[in-house]
Amino acid sequence: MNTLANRCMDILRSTKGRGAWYALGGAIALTWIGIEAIRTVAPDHASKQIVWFVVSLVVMAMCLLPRPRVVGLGAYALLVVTLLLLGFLLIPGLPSAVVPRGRGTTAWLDLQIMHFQPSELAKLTFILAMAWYLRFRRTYRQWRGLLIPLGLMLLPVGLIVRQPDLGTAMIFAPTLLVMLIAAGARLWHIGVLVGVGAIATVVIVLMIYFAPNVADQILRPHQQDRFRGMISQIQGDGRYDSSISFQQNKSMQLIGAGQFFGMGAEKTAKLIRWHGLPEARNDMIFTVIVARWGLIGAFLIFTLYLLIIVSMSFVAGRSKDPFVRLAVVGFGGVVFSQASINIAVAIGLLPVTGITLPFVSYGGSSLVIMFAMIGLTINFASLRPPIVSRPSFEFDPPTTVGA
Amino acid sequence: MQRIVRRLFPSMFSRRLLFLMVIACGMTVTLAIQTTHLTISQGGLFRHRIEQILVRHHLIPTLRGAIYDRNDRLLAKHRSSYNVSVGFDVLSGRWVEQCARRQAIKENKDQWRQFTARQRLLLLEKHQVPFRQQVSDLWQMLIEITAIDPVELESRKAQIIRAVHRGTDSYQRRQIKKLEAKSGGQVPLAEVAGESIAEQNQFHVVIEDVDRNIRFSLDRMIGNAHNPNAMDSSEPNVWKRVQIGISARRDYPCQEMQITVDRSTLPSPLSHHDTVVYSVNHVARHVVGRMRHRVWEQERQAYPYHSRSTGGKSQYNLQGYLFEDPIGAWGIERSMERHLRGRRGWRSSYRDEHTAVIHEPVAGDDVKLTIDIQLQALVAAIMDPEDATLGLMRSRGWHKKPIHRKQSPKDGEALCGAAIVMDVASGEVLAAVSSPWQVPESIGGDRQAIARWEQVNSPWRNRVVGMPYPPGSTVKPLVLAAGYTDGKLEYNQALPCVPGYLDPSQPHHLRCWYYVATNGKSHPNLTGPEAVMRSCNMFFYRLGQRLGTGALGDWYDRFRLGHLTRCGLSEEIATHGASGVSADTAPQMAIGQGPIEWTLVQAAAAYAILARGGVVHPTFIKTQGRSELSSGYLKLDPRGIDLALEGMRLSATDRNGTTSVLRLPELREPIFNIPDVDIYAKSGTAQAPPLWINIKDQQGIEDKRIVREGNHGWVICLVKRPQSIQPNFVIAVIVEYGGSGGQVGGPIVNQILHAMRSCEYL
Repeated sequence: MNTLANRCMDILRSTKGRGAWYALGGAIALTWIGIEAIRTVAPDHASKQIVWFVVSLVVMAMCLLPRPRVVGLGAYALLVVTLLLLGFLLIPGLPSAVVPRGRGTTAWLDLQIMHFQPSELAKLTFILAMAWYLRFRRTYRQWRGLLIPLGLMLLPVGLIVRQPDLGTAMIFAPTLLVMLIAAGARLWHIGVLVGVGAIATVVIVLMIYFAPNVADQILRPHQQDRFRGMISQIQGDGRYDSSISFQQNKSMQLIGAGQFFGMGAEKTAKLIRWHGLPEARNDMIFTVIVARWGLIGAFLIFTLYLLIIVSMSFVAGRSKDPFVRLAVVGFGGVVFSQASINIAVAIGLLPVTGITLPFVSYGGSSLVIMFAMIGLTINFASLRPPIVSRPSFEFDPPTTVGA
Repeated sequence: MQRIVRRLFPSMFSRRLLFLMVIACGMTVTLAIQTTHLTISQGGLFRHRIEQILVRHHLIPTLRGAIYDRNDRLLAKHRSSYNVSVGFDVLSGRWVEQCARRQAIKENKDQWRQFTARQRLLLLEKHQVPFRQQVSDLWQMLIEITAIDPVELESRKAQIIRAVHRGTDSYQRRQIKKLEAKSGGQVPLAEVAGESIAEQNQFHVVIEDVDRNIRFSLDRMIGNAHNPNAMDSSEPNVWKRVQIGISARRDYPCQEMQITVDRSTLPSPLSHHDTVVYSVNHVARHVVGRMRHRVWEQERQAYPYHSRSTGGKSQYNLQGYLFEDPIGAWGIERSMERHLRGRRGWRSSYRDEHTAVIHEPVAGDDVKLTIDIQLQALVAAIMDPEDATLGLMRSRGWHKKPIHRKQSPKDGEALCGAAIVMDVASGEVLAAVSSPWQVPESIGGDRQAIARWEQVNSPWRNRVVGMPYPPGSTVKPLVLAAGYTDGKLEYNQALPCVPGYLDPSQPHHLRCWYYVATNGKSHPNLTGPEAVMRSCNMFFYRLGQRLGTGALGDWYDRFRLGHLTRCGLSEEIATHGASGVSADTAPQMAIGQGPIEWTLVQAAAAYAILARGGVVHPTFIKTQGRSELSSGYLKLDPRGIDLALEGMRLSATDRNGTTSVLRLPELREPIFNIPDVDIYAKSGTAQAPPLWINIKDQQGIEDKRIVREGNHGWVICLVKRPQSIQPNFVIAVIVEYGGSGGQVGGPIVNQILHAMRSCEYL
């Protein structure tokens, strides 16, 4: 405790004026908004979320202690542990007392005091491992050099997809791309990868409509239904509004009904209950926020996420340590991509994915990991920059002075 | 731009961070735009839609107006009752499948995804057994409690399933057309196969009109199923898919009446010196009409309960129709539907405030008819072809049918026809009977036999207003009056019947009926009244030639021949008037043949004009709403009218009159035997086109065959009370393919006159 207290004082002194505290402020504000939104639809769970908030602050405090080098040295080991945990979930025949089944997936470990989701831990350990791997390399500036990062990504992604939890697995790709861009990978390489991904998505969607037998090999029926539902909605075809598009349709209507100032807590609670919005405290928490606080609430959410991202960018920009740079960029990437996908689903721009809203949605594992990232960001921001021979991730061609 | 950025951010890493920030901002702006679009542009619409769920609207049925006769006797009334409805998923079997599936997944949730399709199928079949038993028990219980005939229940269930499947097919086909129009290519049925219509998720009435006690018993069963405190409250219970609804029944108190008939006034072969009490069913069925509990699509589209405005907002019309609303099917129930229907009320329950607002229904207006139900029942008894009590609507030997026609009605065969009684002064219809009005019990339950009988006899058609007939000789008094008015004939002028045919070059064409019946004899020279009395064709051929087609057509038009009377029944048809015919048809037109037709009500109305001295007065069968026809005046020569009526009087009273004597095999007797009234009658024996129907033989090959042929028998009678100046009532009777008008229609009119006396009209 003394060590922690001294460390906290050190951090306060050294990070004064630095952007890290804005990230914490944004995170706490988001968490508070999330608790209020959860209280609107599930008051019992709001109390639990407060408990998780306290636990998250404790975990965040613990993440203030280790040095970046120590964190980096342990990154691979942490990733291996995470992969083992993910693999453990997939062992057939495990009793539901150890690996409970919920929402059609085996994504949790029952630790008696809580249900822990290893895929959340995987986000953190993957970022740390990737940051440690990329910190002194240049190979990712070539096509061949991208193979290993992609392969590293596929390890946790492959295990998470098998749970199955496609939504969580989707977060890793944008996070990796963000880290590669920050690390200096060639933008056109990244563009090609994104293009390939987009084309693959289009091909999958076309297969759903024109080659369903082939699509069945790639996507499960409920996953295909989500694409079908979203495309029908975009086309203005409301035939799936009561079935496969029910959740998204209700979400969009409730968001719209919030208008500018929202409908207030009581009315929002009634309407969400009567309309039967699924996963109101998890995946659709953004809907609850906009229904209650209106467009003002939505803009506040956008602003707070941007605040976190900008804050982390400042920390990354000021730091000279390549591991710190990439790790913090990775944290920002995962927070922002997860938030964007969740909000895009709620407002009907993407098919339903089952991703929660960082800091806001109900869930202990997610909150703890997110605050751990905040803790590490503050930790890394507080340290004196190391002496490095050359700045990291600078690949500009040298400029010739004179003739 | 690149140089500026590089100058501002010399570090590549910083520039990459800036790039990532720009992407992040761009994505945030996109999300913000969409959110703003939802909340600001569409916020109002979504708010309205979303808030609708807090309000539950229950419709309160309206009270349909009653129908009375002219003496305020109740003919139709509304009665509240209860219906038993069952969810369509239970009817179609989907409930069993869904419950079995849920149960199977719940019990095997860990292994369900690993099962093969066959394993799942076997499991589902096993789990369906208890739910099928529940459904079977439900039907058994409903049969026991409500005492409904199981066959009737099965038939009703099958009917509902058929109707909903038809509706689904129709909807899916429309959806495919829409998609094909959008995509420009073919769309497979599988694309819309999963779509359902509202009726598939609704409750449907399987048992109608249960009483309060049954309702309470069923309510108990349903209440137990919904009881959250019951031990098995979370288990599927088919009774949760049963509802009791308030409904409306329509009762027709006077549809069965007992009447007393004096048979001593019948023609000798039929008369008996007794009175019988006679039971008449479905009295005034064609006039009053009946209800139907299925609103057709075009009726729903004409008066929809729910529609959308141009702005897409929902609009509700409380007088509009829902799928299973009761609606008038025919008769006054249909023609006065908007008047009788009323407006339903509604109850708005506000879920969040636990309050309710009730808007009371508005009862429909009552309708009063001009019909006298007692007289109607008596005339129906007279016109009943199935009951042998009177036997006037059975073919008899003395009806003088054309025996060379093979499909002429055989002796004893039931005949079809119609009768109308009208008050001359007011134009009110006192009785209007179309016969037959129901399928006779003698046909039995064979559907093919019933269909064949209906094809031949058209019991659902209102022959008073909805069947066109050639007038035959019944137009002669009108033509005579017209001839005198136009100066085509002097009052005392006689025209010859000799040689018995009009055109010497065509001795078999345009002949007098007397010439044909007597094998070449002719009437003497006849004046107008005498020609009406004897119904001499030659007289009227010549008069018709004098008048010409144009004038004849004009006069028929003025007598409203071919025109709707707008008496108040929607089944009324307009018939082929006398316009656009060629010049050489004048002689035929003058004797009521050729390209002219009228309905029974038009005939009665035309004679009423004559009886009123040329005053045109609308015809009414209901007291509400006056006819769109305004009153008018035909400038008929009064002396001409008198002479036409004189001819009709002679026809009914003189031994040479065609409506005076019944020519029985062994004796002659007067047709009219009612004392103390003045009778003016005109018979008509109109050549009728044969009745063709399609018949399928045992091989299924369709063929057209004649089933009836011959002449329609008419009698139109004016009757005057001794003290009156002008005739008081007009009675018109037609018997299809009956033969000679006077012989077949005369005794019927005579009985109607006796009926009117018993009702104190004469």
